[in-house]
Amino acid sequence: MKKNLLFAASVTAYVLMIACNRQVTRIDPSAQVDISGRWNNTDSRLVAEEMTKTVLGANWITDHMAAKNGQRPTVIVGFVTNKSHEHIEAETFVKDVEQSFVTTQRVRLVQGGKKREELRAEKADQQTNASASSMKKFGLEQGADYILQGSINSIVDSHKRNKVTYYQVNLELTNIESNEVVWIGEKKIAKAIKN
Amino acid sequence: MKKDLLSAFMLLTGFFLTVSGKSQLALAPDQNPNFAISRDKYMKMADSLNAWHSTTLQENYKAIDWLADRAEARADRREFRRQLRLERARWGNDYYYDNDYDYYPSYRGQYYNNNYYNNRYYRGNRSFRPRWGFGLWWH
Repeated sequence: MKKNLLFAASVTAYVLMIACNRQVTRIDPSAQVDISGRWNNTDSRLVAEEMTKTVLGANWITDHMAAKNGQRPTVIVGFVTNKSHEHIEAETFVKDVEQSFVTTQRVRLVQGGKKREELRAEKADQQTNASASSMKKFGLEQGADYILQGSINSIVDSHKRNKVTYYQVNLELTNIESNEVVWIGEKKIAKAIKN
Repeated sequence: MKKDLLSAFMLLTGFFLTVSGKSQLALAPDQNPNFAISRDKYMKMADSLNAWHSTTLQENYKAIDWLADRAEARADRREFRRQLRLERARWGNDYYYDNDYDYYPSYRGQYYNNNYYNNRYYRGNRSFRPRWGFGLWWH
């Protein structure tokens, strides 16, 4: 009986010790912390930095403005297809690209997908509930000139405990009317992982 | 009456001719005159396609990875053992280990405890049942 009690007490103490050992520390989001070797926030940040730098420096903006009497191009974000071996959410770096469009004011951005559906639903609601002066009209949305699409690919080469993972992220801008691709951004990341 | 009908018909014909003529005029320079076929096709599917804009389509593949495969095999084995334990807990160990298991234990000693079932021939056959498995061998 005494032995059992002693055993239960030691197990409880061990569990409590483990529970109390957890430590959470806030770190800088730009700090490079690699734990598993899989896709992480550093990879997403590297892609975002590369894409924002190249998309705003490319000629497609000036070409568009020259052809359209100085009007800024309007972009909508389409699909990004993740064809890699890991679950990767592209929104983490696509949002950074969108943010650069808005903050630099060189490119106009229009909402798409579910958010656009929500906007239209709100507009529909206003048709019967809002005052006539504040009611927003249908049919006045800004049409996009370009669509931003992308793909994520990966190659894994592994043997026993060694592994090299290669990621290639591409974003491309296509003229919606002519289907002409006006810009392709690319970021390649290779990681050597030893387990 | 006939005159009215004729004038109405002419008016309608004129209206349709004007409308069709305008639609012909609406073609942009070098635009394909058959564009309406494609437009009508994609107008039907635009809503369902565009609802997924700004999202990531996950079309992942399974990479060849020795460590990951080993971990997966280990997880499979653990899951199998867990299921086996659950089955044993549900049906009892006799179901898996006891060669003399009877489906209706309460009948034991009543119907089967006679010379016919206890003779050497019958028990000999029963002893050939495998010791491991999911208990589908009692007949």
